[in-house]
Amino acid sequence: MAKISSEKKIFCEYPSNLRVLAIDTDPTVLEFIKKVCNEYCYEVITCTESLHATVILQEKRSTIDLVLMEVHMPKMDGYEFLLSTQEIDVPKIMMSFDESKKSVMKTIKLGACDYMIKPLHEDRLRNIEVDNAGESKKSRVVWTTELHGIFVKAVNQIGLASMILQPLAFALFSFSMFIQYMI
Amino acid sequence: MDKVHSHRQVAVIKHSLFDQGYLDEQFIQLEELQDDANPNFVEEIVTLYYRDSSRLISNLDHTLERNPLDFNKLDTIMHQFKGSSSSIGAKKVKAECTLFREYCRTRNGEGCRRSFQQMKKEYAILRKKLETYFQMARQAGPKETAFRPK
Repeated sequence: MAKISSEKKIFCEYPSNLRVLAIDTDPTVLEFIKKVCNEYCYEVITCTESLHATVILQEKRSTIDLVLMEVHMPKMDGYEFLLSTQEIDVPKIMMSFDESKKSVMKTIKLGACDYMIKPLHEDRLRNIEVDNAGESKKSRVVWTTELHGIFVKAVNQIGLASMILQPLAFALFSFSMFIQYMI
Repeated sequence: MDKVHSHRQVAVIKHSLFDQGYLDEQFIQLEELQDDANPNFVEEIVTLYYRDSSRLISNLDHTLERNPLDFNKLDTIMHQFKGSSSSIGAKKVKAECTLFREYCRTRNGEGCRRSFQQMKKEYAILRKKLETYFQMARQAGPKETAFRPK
């Protein structure tokens, strides 16, 4: 606990102001995300409805740095959400209890940049966000169709198994490729 | 001395919850997020889980009354319930959810009903045990570190 407190202090002294849009019907998941984000002074907007979330993302696209979303949502699922927000260049990380390769690949092909298997672990959540924060300090990473094409190629090369097991490693690999393309 | 004794009692309850398979690793994840700024974080999350679960259980109850059974709908609701149960580390409840979903997959209505009753039992037991645990933890007061049972 003492360790977390000192880390918290450091992060709050140098706020990155990373803004996260978290979408899930499960209030325990949203609460968990909020707590982890608060420890690192990130702002969180939570949403329990996908349609409403698309509106939020459209209106606030320039102020949202990351989307975290459950794949299986009522009325509009994660796949439809990704499809309808493809032109919005904000990194979208999907999450679900569904560990099927089919689900993972489908979200990647539709524009997701990562997939976390639930239940969520603080470490994985924290590491992905810290990496994002690092990048956004230099300049905002813009997720484009071109980048995404490279990403899908990378998934095929590295293999799905390693992607599921090592989402952090995969996210880092992806970001290292993007450095060349930073706008 | 009293405080040490109370903390030890809390530890004993917690160990037994893990030993008897009611809770898993995910519960520890939640406890590790708890700190002085949010001393009741775990209890708050678990309370949210109760609220959400009540809604889902009631939903399942209604859907199980239908004739013929809508197995797809049952599976969808149970998927959600399994998800949120796993988020707080409710191990036994989660196992019953898995069994229920298997019965949905094989279109076994009787199996679903049986499994649902069992799941409700496990849920009620867990709820009671957690209430006792949180009560004792609150009485014992804040402790310095979260620890993992061996």
